[in-house]
Amino acid sequence: MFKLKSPSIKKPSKKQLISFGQAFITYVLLTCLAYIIIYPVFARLMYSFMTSADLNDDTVFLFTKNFTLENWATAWQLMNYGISFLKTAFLVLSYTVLQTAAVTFIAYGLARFRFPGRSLLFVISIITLIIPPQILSIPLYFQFQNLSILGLNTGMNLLNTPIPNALLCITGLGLKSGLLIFLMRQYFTSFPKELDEAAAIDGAGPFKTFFLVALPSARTMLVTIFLFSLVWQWTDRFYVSVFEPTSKYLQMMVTQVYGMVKVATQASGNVDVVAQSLINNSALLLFILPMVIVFLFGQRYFIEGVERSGIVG
Amino acid sequence: MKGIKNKYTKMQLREMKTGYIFVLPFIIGIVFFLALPIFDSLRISFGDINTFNGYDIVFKGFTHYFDALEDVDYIKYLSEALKDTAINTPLIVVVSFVIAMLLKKEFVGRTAYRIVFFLPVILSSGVMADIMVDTLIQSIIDPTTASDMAAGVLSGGQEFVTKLLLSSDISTDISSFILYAQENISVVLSHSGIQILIFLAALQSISPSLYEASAIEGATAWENFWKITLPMVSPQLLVVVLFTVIDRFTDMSTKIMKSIYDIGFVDLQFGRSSAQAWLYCAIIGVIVAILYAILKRTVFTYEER
Repeated sequence: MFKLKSPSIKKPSKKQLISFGQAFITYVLLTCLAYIIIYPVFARLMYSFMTSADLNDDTVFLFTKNFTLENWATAWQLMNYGISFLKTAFLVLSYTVLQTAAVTFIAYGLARFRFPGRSLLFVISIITLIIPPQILSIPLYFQFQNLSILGLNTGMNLLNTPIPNALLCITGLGLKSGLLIFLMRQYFTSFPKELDEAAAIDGAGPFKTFFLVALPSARTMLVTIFLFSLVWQWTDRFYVSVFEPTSKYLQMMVTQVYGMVKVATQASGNVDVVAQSLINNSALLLFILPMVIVFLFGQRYFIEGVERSGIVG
Repeated sequence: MKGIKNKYTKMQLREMKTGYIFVLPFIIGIVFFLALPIFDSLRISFGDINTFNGYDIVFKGFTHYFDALEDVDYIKYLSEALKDTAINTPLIVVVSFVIAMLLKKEFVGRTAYRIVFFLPVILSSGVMADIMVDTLIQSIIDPTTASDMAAGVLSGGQEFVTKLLLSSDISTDISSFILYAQENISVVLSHSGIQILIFLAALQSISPSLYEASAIEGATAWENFWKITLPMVSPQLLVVVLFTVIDRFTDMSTKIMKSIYDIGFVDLQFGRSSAQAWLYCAIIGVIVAILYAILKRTVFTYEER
C-alpha cells in the first residue's frame, strides 16, 4: 500500500479549515464592500488628470493617455483657492473651537450635577436633532437681520457676518451640536465620581476640577468632538448659505464653480461640456482634500472616540 | 424661598448652582435661538409675511397646512422621503451590523478596513452629499448625447454597469432596477459609518465569559448569535435605528428638505415653507415616537453591569 501523504505534512484539522474559510469569506466580503466606497473616489481622482479626449475615447479606462494637471489648475484659479482656503479655514476653525468648548461645558454640566430641569435640557438637546433646520432658519434669518434683544430693537443687521453662526455654536445649538452634546455627556457620565471627590478634598472647586481633572482626562474625547465638528462645519452649506448668502467661502464656491466654468469657457469660445465637468470634478476634490487629510491623520480619534464615549455602557 | 431651602441641603443647593452655571449658555441658546424661533416659525406658518423687512404677519389660519396637503410636489417629495427611509433604514442597520460583525475579529489590515468604512462620514456629509447626488442624477436622467454620457462617467461606478446592461438583452425594467440597486448600495454604505462604529463598540464590549459559558453548554454559533450577541447589542440597536431614521429624514440632500428651503429662501414664501417644514417635522416626530415605543420593549437589559 502506498501512503498518500508523507507523515511529516500534517493534514489540516477540520477546525483550521473552518477558520481559514471564515477568514477568506471575511476578506472577500469586506473587500467587495470597501470597493463600493473606494471606487467612486478613486475614479474621480483618476478623471481629474484626464482631458475630454480621454473621456470620449472608449479605450481609456481610469488611466489617462494624456496626463494633464490643467483641471486642477483651472479649478484652483476659479475658486481663488489660496485665499478662499485660508478664509474658510479660519472661519471653520473658529466655529469648531467655539462649538467644542460650548458642547464640552454643557455636557459636563448635564452629566455631573443634579439640578431641577436637567433631564428636560437633555431631552431638548436630543429634540434639536429631529427639528429640521429649515424650521428655525427662517425666524433666525429675520432675527439676525434686525437684531432685537428682549424686544429692544438695536437695528443691527448681522447677516453676512460670521456672528449668527458663532452665536449658535457658543450656545450649543450649532450644526449637529445635539449629537456632540450626547456623545460628550455619555463620556462624562461614565467618568468616575471618585475623582471629583478626591479633587474636592484637596480643596478644588467645581471649575478647578473641570479644568484640571475632567478636561485632561477627556483629551481623546475632546479631539474626537473637535474633529467631528470640524468636518461637519467644513462640509456644511446650509447655515452658511442662510446667514452669509453672499460670502465666498469654499463650501459656497464649490457649487458655484459650475457656473463660473461655463462663463469662463464660453468666453474663450470653448463649449466642451465634458471639459467643464472635469474642472468641476477637480474643484470638488480640492474642496474635500483638506478634510481627507485631517481624517487620515485623525482616524484613530474618530473611531476610538465613539468606542470610548460609553455610548455602549 | 423658604420652601426651597427646606427641601434641599446646602450642598445640594451649591451643586445646583454650579450645574446651572455650566449649562447657562445652553439655556440662553434655548430661549433665544430655539424657543423664540419655534414660536415665530409657528406664527409665520399660520400666515404670510407682509413686508420683507418687517414682521407684519397676515394671519391666514391653517391655509398653508391644507395647501401643503394638496400640493402635488410636496406630497410627492414627502412620499419619496418616507419610501427612502422605509427602504434604507433596515438596509443600513443590517449592513452596518454585518460589517461590524466582520470587523470585530482581529485580522491583518483591520485598521485599514475600518478607515475605509468610516470615510463616507466625511464624503457624504453636507455639501458633498448634494454634489455627489446631483451629478449622479443628472447623468442618469439626461444621457442624451455622447459627451453627456462621458460626463456621466464622472458619477462613479455607474458607467461600467450601464454599458454592460445596454449591450445585453435585458429588458429596460430589469436593468433600471439593477441600476437603482447599484446606486442604492452605495447610498446605504455611505450612510453606515457611524452605525458601524456604534455596533463595533457594542460587540467588543460583550464579555467573552458569556461565550465561554455557552460553549461549555454546547451551544452552536447560530444559537450564540440569537441568544447572546443580539440581546446584548439591543440597546445600541435602538440607538442606531432611531439615529438612522432621523438622519435619513433630515438629510439636507433629500428633495423635500431642498424644496422647503427653496420655497422659503428662493421663492420668499416663508409662511408656506414654515408650514411645510412643521408638517414634515410632526410626521418625523410621530414616526420616531412609534418606533421608540415599539423598540423599547424589545431591548434586553443586562442587570449585572
